[in-house]
Amino acid sequence: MAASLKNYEKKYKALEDVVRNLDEGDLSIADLLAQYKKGLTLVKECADMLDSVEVEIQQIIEEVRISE
Amino acid sequence: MNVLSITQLNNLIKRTLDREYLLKNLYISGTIMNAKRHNSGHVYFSLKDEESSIDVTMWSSTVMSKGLSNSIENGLLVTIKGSVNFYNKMGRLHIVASDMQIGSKSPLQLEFDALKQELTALGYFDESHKQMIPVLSSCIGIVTSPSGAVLHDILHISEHRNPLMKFKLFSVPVQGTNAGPIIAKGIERADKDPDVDVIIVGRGGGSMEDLWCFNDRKVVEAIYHAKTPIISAVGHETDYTLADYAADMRGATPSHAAEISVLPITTLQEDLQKKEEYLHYVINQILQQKRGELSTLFNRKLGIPALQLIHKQKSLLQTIKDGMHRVSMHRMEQEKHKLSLLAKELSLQNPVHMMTKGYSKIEHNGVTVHSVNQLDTGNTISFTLADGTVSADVKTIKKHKPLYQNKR
Repeated sequence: MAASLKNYEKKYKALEDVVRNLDEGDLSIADLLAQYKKGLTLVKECADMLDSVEVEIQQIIEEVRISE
Repeated sequence: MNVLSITQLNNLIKRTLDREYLLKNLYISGTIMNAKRHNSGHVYFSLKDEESSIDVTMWSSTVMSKGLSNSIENGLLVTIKGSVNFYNKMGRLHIVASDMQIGSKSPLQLEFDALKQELTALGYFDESHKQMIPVLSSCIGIVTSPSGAVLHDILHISEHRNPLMKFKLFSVPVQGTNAGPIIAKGIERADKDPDVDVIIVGRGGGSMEDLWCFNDRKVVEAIYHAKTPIISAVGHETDYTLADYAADMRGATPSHAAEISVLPITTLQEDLQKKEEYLHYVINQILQQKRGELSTLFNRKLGIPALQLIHKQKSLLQTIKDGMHRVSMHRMEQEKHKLSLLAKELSLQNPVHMMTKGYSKIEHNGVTVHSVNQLDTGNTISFTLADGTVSADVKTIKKHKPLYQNKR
């Protein structure tokens, strides 16, 4: 988990780079498509990671509640 | 065999006693003990001499008419007039007194009162000085006579309650002129004995003279100064000695003293179990409360903020995703727009389109004519229009400046 969380920051940084590239607006269409696809992939990967972290947090909250 | 019911028996006794004139209108002399005044105004007491006692009742009407309301007191030497009466419902015999002559207190009673007053003033009977009797002792020191009833009664009671209890006898005489100081020494010995947890000091019932050694100042002092808790057990329930007042606790009888100092082992076990259960209950209550607090703290300070962080990050990702989509779509719109402009421009430059506007393609000998320099007068040229070709001869040629400079 820690390793993949570390990965999150990396992926998020890559995503920011993609956004910057897209915002600059001088990409070729092929590059635009490539960057867009790459961006969406990164968004999905990041969201998946957040989902799994959220599930884990919910589980911990549940465990703490049950042990009362 | 003639079987009587209780009622028949009691009625028989009552009839027999009522017939006996010797038991009517007697004058009886004795010391008042155990006087009790009921709410009804009737007064009940015992008349006692050295050996015996009898119950006496004085009805409230007699108490009032003889003006005795405030004068019936324990220890008073009195002569009463009364008749023996049998209360057949309870099977109890008593004397109903119709008059009372109050004599002076007995000399012993006067001495007792004086010593009690003095020792009270000195603080020997202060409640604040009294110690708790331990719930569980391992060894009880008994200061009494080895031949008396006390030892037997105590051993008998404790045998059933706690067979593990140990006893040490501190043998003393419990009657006689010199007994007091020896009893005091016995108490001191018991107090110094490291094994002894509780001391019982006492003797069985007897007359005031018999019990007198327990009113000895030395006994009171020994009890007062002892570090070990002391239970007194002197005489019967109605007998009070100064030792009783000085003791940490008074046993009404030696048996009662044993009951106080030797709790049944089962009671102790039950008590221990109840305490253990209570302890568990309390600990669980505290734990549950702490868990609740921890859980609340965890949720408020960690759980909820963590989820909020995740949600914030998620909405950031959504914003980024939307942004990327918008930028890309915008860019695609731009490209499409540029493309459509180019397409339009392209279509504008289509020769057929030009021909519909009135322009035509001029050829001479199969070569496209770009300049007047390619032609001479008389040359035959062909015009291609959108819907056909026209041949024409060149009549005149007039040259002027080019309309626009060809970039190529």
